[in-house]
Amino acid sequence: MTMLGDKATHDQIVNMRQELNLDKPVVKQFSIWLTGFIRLDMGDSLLWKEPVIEIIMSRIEPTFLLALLATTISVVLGVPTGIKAAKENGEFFDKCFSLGSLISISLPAFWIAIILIHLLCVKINLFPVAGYRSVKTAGFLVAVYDLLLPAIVLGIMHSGQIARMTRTTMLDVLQQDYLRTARAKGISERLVINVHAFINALPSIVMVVSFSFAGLLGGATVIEQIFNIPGTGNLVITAVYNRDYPLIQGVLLFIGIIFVFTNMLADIICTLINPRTRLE
Amino acid sequence: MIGNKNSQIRLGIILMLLPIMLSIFGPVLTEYDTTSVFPANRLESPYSEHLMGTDNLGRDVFARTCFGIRVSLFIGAFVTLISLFVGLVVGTISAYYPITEKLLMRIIDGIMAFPTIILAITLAGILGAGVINIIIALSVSYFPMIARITFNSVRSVKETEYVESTIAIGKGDIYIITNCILPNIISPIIVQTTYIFAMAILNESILSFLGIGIQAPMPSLGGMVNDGRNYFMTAPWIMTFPGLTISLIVFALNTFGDGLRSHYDPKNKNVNRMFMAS
Repeated sequence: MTMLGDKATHDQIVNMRQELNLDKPVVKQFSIWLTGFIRLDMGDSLLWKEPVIEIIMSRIEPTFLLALLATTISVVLGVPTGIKAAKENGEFFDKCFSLGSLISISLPAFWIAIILIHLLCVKINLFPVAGYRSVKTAGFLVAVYDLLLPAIVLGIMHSGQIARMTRTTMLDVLQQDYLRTARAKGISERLVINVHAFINALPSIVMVVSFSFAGLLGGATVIEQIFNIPGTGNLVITAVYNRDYPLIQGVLLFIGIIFVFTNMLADIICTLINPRTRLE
Repeated sequence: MIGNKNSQIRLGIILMLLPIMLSIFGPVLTEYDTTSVFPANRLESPYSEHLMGTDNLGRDVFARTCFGIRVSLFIGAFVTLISLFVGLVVGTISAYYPITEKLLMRIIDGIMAFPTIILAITLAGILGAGVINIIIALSVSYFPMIARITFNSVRSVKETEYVESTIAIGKGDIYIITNCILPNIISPIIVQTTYIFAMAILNESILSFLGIGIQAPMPSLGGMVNDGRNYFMTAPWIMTFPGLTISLIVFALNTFGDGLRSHYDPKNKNVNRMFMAS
């Protein structure tokens, strides 16, 4: 009804219902959808009249690139600071670190993004204000440049969590007996922390990084919307605004699969790093 | 982390007092209305008779911020309470009665397979805007976290000897759950609820910012940031104050949660995966 407006004739409504299979029983509707999904046919978008799967595929590139960039930034920022904070537990750096990481996870990303757009893009023209030129048309570097500011915003937001996790796990590992043994063997402190301790803390760090990466792959919705990046997060919002149900279904399913798959991949990496978690 | 655990809890409470006070006494402190439009007074700076200036329609930013805090805290509190209640019930039932585990925990897994913000946006979009719908959307996104923690804790406590002996003296299930199990598992859950409170407020502001949360003319912090984004160069106060307020509330709650966590769990054994709002 909402799609046709209130002036629709009875015939139009009947036709529309037939087209969308809404005249069939619910179980039948579900089986049609399920068999369609297995054949990767999730129906057509109501808004664009194109197959849902094609729309999603065309939106993956910017989201993937953005997630990759943002995760890189957050790891580069988060992991070393987390290790340093654990090393200097309770000292000045650690206190500043706690405050900083807490602020970074408390700030609303959309607010910071808008302020940064105005300061860095409009005022001093450092970055493009919004939009995205794809790798195919403009080349890899241009695409990265377009995504740099959103990636920085997201990277800083996510680095807080990664840093906190790194610090907590490192603190835990640093109290273990095997590190005392390592020190007693006369290995330099740097090697003890950066190699012996770090490798043991790695699984938890991989888990939290993969979790933030999976979240970003699902779509950094607000950031994509603000920077007008045609990614999956933006697609969710567009689909929701327009009540495009087949598209919402398709995107959600896609995001769910990506999310589960990334976490599974992280589990596999963890078992590779840490033999103790391997199944017999 | 910042100082010791007690000072952290104290800092969180003190920081939280300011927005709470503003939300309660805000209307007393200003004579302006939250929704009345005065085009003649538009974009006045904070140094005028308006404490935080006026927005593009001449509405008082201070009055609107105070009301926005009230809306945010209201939604946050309700989402937290509902997720706590539903999560506790679902988690306890599925752990205590293993027959239900398969069904309930699979539903929980299904919900948790999506990033919370995406789920909240979709649900809010489908249900339609409005305070109650946002509360529903956010509660559905957050109760699985409580349910999962409850499930894991109840399952481990259920095997302990004191529970077995209570069963042996013939007490009923409800007595065992409320008197033996819940008091022993509640502390990590309380810690988690403070984070859920913070995240619910953050996500409510995101929903309102996107226009699928609180609808104009009702003020909301996220919606005010959206109103002010086009005027940032000429009138930065429109979006600066609401944004700062969101940050303050979320920061205070996170500090409080951290303090509670180091109080209940000094060795940080339960490091829960926090769900980021991106």
